[in-house]
Amino acid sequence: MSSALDGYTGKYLHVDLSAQTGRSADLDADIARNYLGGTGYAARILFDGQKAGIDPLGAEAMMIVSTGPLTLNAVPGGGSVELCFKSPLTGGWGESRAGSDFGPDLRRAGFEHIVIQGKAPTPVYLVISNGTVEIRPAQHLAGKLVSEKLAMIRKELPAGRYSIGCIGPGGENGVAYAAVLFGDRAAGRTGAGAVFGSKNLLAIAVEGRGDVAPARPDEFKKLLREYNAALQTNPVSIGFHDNGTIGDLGANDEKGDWPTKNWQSNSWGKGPELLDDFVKNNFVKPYPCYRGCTIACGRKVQVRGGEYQTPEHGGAEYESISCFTAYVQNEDMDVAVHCSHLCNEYGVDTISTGAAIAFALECAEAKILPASATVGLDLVWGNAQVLPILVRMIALRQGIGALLADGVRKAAATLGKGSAAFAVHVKGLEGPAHDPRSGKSLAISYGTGNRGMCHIHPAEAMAWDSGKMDWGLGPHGLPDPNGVDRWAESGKGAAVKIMQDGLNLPDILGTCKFFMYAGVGVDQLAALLSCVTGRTTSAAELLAVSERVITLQRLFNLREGFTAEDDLLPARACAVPAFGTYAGNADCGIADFPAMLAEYYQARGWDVATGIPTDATLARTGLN
Amino acid sequence: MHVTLIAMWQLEKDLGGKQFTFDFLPGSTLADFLRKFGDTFAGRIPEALWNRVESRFRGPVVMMTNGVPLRNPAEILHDGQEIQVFKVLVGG
Ligand code: SF4
Repeated sequence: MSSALDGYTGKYLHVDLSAQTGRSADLDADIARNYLGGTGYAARILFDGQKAGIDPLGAEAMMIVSTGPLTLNAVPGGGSVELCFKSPLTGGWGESRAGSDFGPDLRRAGFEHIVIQGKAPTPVYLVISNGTVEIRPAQHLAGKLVSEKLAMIRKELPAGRYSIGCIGPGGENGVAYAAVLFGDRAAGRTGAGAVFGSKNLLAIAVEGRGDVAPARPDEFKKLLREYNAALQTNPVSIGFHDNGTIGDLGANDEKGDWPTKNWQSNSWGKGPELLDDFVKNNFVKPYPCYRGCTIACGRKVQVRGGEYQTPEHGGAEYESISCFTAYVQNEDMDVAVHCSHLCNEYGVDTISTGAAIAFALECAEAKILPASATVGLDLVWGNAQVLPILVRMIALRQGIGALLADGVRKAAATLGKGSAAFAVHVKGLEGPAHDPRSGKSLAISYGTGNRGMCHIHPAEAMAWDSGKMDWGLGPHGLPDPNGVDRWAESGKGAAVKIMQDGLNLPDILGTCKFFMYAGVGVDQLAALLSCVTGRTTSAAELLAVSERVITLQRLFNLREGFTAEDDLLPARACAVPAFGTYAGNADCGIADFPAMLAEYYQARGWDVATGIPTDATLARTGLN
Repeated sequence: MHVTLIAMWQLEKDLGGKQFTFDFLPGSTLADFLRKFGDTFAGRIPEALWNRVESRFRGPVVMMTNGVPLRNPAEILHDGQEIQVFKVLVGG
């Protein structure tokens, strides 16, 4: 007999760290139907269960560790876990994904998600196994690096194949952009690690041996065979595997999609040689971030000797390396790889950390920084040696690190003296390493992303107008990118809405977005979901759920006090580049961003002046 | 023997055409194909995608024949082979 929760475990875990209790509770079938899972289900929990205005680092704040109905090792990209919370960095919607077996293991342990509230009086970690949870003391783990914590926890665990999510000193010290590490993979953006730290929660270990059976197993297996076979010959899939995300370093530099010198330009000209250097000296081999990933875009890397030596580790993503090269004008790839590794060891987001350092370098150049905070530091562009020092200072909140640890928005507010012009962020989230000036649809995506200036949640929109990719969204209304001018500003709002609705789905369903790039698009996700739940779901219905989720997250932000002003881009990200390939090229500036936003609001059914969803939109999305 | 390069997606614009057929001696390898590619297109293709010194693609360019990726420069070419070349997007 079929049930409304077929394809789900039917349970979630509620942990109250103040009371030191954990209990299993029933999943809500209505929420599952309307929000599916992942960031969707979590948005409903956070909107309903957490008051506006609470301190994101207070005991009443919630942390949701979430999966979706497609979080299964067998599903392409199904090794995912999503963290959802009120961000201590932005004060608004916080979410962050990591690729890991943690998600599938949590479901095998019997839970779709964990709701964590309260604050433990002393450090603890959770051990979840087959429907049970134990809260263990973790005083002895305090202050340890991520790899040290992981090794110590593994020694203490009973036999079993545990996945572990863990914070580093950055999270314990309340760095506003602290990460949660799942092995080598970080849920880095918007400060989940700080929320863990504020609760004295240092880690969660999970193992499970249950099975989340699909409702239509034969059809499910057939689809998986078909999709996996197609992935084997898909050039994008092969490109990700062979090159990793860092493979675009040179190409993005050439296209003007590489923010440089704290966004003063969007090209540097050194991308190709830095990439060669990386491939020759640091790259070891590709690796998958969960068991079963057929793409395996991860890179095992190493600094093989010298002052910046590292062990072999997973890292050196495009974003991380860009932030420790172009952002800060560092030409030493060993230092960039080392800093990316250090960020993971200390548990801080590589993007925000690199961006905060770039901000500091520009402030130092403008003589804005207090001399007392920079004693002994040679804060000049291109000084590789100072970078690892600053990463540690941020994670440990020492000296100038304490200022930078709160993010560039807050640091600029503290410093004043015109430093806000150097703080490149939207809603408080530091900008990542793609440039909206050279693929203008990204500008809208940056402005309206609910978590702030993010390239990938929900959509890497420049991949459409600049990269000419459509993710299979053509039949769902996305115009053919080949007919679109990447420099044009007008006519992109409606397209960005479609991209966001489509590319938000992996976050809701609990899969990796890169598989959408490689042919597992909305139609394929709908087919897989239908097999899993036994309820036929069309691609159009999936897109409607995604729109509902994006709108609810928008309402979350509005309730926290955000306005249309907070959708605006920093002037630096709109200005014609000051140097590099596109210097002086008027096409490569953003002249009228409010007009672009207005088009987007219109397409979303939001009031064009205020950016608030209209009553009609709330009714259409089922949010009234 | 003849080997045909098929420029896929954006590369068609970069290379200024869709199909290019080259002559090779029997026993030629993928490395020979790459050398010929460099001789013909080095001036047209951005440095970001092509390493002129080492005659190899740089960054996310994928070569395939019949759905099978070509990775080994020592791989022997065969008469009538078609090599599809894609510039893919991998930036995360
Ligand atoms: S494609 Fe890359 S990021 Fe996605 S699940 Fe696989 S290894 Fe992880």
